[in-house]
Amino acid sequence: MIGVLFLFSCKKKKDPEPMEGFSLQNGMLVLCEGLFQQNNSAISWVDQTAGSVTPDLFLNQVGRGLGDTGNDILKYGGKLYVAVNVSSTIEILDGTSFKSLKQISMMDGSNPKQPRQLLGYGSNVFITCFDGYVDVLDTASMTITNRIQVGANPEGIAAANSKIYVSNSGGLNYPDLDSTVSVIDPLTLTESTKITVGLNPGNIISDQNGDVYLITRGDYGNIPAQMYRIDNLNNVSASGIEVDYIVPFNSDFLLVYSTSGMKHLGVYNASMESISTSDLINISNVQTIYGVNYSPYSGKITVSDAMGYVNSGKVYVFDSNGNTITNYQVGLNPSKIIFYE
Amino acid sequence: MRILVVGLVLFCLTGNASGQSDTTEMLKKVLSAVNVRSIPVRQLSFAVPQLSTDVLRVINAADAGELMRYLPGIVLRSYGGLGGLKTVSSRGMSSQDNSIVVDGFERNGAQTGQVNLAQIETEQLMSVEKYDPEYSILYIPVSTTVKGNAILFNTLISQYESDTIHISATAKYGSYNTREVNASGMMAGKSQAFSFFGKYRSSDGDYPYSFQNGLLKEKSVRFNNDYQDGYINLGYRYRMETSQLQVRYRYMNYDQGVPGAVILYNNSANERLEGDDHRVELDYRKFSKYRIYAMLSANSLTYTDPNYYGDTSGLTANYMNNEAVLGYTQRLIWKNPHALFIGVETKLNNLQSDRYFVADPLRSSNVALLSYTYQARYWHVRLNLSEQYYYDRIGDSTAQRWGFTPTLSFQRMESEKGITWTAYYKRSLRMPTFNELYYGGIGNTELKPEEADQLSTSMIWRSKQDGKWNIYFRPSIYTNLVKNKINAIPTKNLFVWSMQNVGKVWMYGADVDVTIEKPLKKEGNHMGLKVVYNWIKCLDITDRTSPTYLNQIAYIPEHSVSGDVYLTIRNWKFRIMNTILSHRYALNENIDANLVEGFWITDLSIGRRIKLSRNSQLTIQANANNIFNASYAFVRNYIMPGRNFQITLRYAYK
Repeated sequence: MIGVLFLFSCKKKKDPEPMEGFSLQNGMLVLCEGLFQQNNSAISWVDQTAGSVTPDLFLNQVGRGLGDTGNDILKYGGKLYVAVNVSSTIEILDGTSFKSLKQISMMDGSNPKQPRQLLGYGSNVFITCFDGYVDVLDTASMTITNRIQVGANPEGIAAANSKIYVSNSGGLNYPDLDSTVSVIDPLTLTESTKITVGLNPGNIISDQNGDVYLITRGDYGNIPAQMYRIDNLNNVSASGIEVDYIVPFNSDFLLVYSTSGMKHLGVYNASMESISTSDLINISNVQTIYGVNYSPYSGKITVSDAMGYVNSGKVYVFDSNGNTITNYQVGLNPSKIIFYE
Repeated sequence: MRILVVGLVLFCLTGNASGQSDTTEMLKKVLSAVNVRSIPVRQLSFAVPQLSTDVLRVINAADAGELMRYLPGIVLRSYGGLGGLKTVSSRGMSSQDNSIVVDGFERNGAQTGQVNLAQIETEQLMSVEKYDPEYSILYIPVSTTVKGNAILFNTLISQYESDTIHISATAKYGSYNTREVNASGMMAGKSQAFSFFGKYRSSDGDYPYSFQNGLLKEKSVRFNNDYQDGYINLGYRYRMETSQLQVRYRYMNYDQGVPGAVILYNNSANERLEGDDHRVELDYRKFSKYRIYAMLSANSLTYTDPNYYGDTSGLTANYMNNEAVLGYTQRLIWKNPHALFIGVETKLNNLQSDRYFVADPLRSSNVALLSYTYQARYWHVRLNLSEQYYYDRIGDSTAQRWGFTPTLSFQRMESEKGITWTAYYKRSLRMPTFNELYYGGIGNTELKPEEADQLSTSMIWRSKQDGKWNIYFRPSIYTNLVKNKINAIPTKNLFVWSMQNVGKVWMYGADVDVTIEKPLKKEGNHMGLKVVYNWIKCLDITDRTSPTYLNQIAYIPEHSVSGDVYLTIRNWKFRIMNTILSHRYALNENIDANLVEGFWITDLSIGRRIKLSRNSQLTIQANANNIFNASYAFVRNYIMPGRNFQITLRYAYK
């Protein structure tokens, strides 16, 4: 009898209820990575008209879970691509209706490729995979057409000067980390050269001048994180600034950097090669900064707070002058955001 | 106080204590009055929360982990499958706070601080019980008395009967190609006795499972979950009139796949674990006076991941743990109704590894204990004062940690009414493990011990054994406060996790242990019901501003029930076993996204005993587990087997 009582008192998970006629308008898709081996990666939908949040839009609309550790989301050519690292899948969705178009299993035989980050270039999406390759996804046929061998545990990927730059972190071989950037020729789909930068390269972007900027995360101890620049002649220079994130911001960058142990969110002037605004946004209230995104349409800047990595995350929204607009509670470990404005 | 305890213990060890000169006659008197717990607790069947040999055989558990649901306040955390990691939480406290004792020796190692209960053999178990602070310390390892909680396993290898020859052989076969053979023998004369136990078991572990993924019902087969292990135990006893020496050697090895969590859309797993464990135990007891015990152990573990992307040749990590223990407990008669016990234990642990640890740590753990007992007609009071001292050396650096832990317990026995009241306060310190302190990139050498204060009270009512109804009823209520809880949290970023003393947890709850047994007309026939119910609130009170403030701690169910119905008629035994866990949360934030649904599992057992001769018998037993084929998990995404079967054949000669 006691057992029967408890069975009735037990909470059950709610079944997903798809929203009929749903379309992605005036809102934000927030990729929430979740935690390793928890299968709790999610895509939260922030409806800016209603001011409401659907914590797991993918589960709601697709009717199944996104999987384990979603690392990147990309809107390219009317489609959405999501790289789910531990589940080793690429999810392709319609960029307006959010209907699932295809799930690609990223397995090499019985070994997971572990997709990490995405770049749209030409008719392809390039996918860095932790097994040491960059996969080429044809956007029309939605199939993997090529594998390009690069360095150890490739992560960040960016395009500049008709070339593709891939940062090889070697992160799975800690403490023997990698320190190279692979350069891929997108015509021949081969690695043309490797450039040596600082230890443990990760986040990588390009500017309008054809320069590539990347963060090297160091050894998380004595060697600090740092920003590097690679110019169009493959010359490498270190900025000397301890940087955690860099995000394109009009013709400049937003960057999260540290001085004397304090974190700041400022603006980096790409032409002057220096910080032009040291504190655009006051981030002292952000517990665990986990992503910075910028909407070129509305000028909004978002800062994702992972809230200690084990609690529901928050997204703080600011205008382009750094004034607070609002904040939303989303899923676990929010990182990348796609704006619909 | 520290100096006082150490001083008193050292003083007693010099041999000048007056108690040692008491006469045997005096000892006998005091034995009957002062120290109820000095007789083996298993003989007090029906009076303590323990499982007897008969019950253990019927349950036919694959390992010790499966027995934990019968102990009040204990909640199992199982990662599934034969040999898969199984640990327990006692009244919401961490598994490292729980001392696992087999035949008077603690099994908890210094590297992880916890024991995989799936690797404690059950075939030779004579009893399993939860240690209570009112127990005598005489035959308990001193290091166990300072732990938050303890579970005591007693096996046949330490329970010799004089002038006996005992031989048994068992064969089991079950679902997923699970096979086991074991054999044991014991030959005991008046003074000398030898015993032997050997076991081999294996399983493919490829059980089918299903789970709900949104609107989809996912079905698959557990992959890379094979397991095999082998055990050899050898024992020797030399018994004199008032003393006994036992020497034991235990060996086990294992080789298993590591399936990991069930990951959506990715069924790959290649990791493996293999290892072995050697231990030699020496146990000398001067009955009811003192005990000297020593143990040497060496165990190795190799983890391999051939497809690890950090290294072209895959990942291999080797660990070797060595341990040496020397302990002494003594009972000093003061003056009736007063008694004094002392205990000291020193332990050396060394870990050698070729990966992740910056150097090989060495630890010296020392515990000194002074225990005072007062026993009057109704009252039994025990005060334990203990001091712990830990000295670690890693590379060129050293660290020391001290801790004082008192325990005070009261017991009022109203024999004529069959009622016993107990209450205790216990303070315990959990020293950080090697992994928590020194694991490369995660360990934090600045960690302080985790502190716990426990308050508990119980009532035990036992009905008269008048042949009508035998009832045992033990409700308990308690509250615990754990401070400086050691948790892994990210520090600089998601890549940099570190062990920190950040948690503060408040627990309160109740558990009830009820057994009702009805003897039937024919002698030996009976039917019964055993129910263990646990209710616990285990709340995070670390930070008022946190979203997890006053939320239930991850993986602690508010309710859990174990309920068995059993019937013995002539040579037949039937048992229906139920395990119920309410919902839990996979993380400390109690939101729907973290919900782990509750479950109810029902197992069946039926056994028949066939007497072959005056001295030998054959037992055939069939077990059907999870008969309703429920999909369930103790730990999120570690899905347990569905309906499965086992047949056991056992021959015994005595």
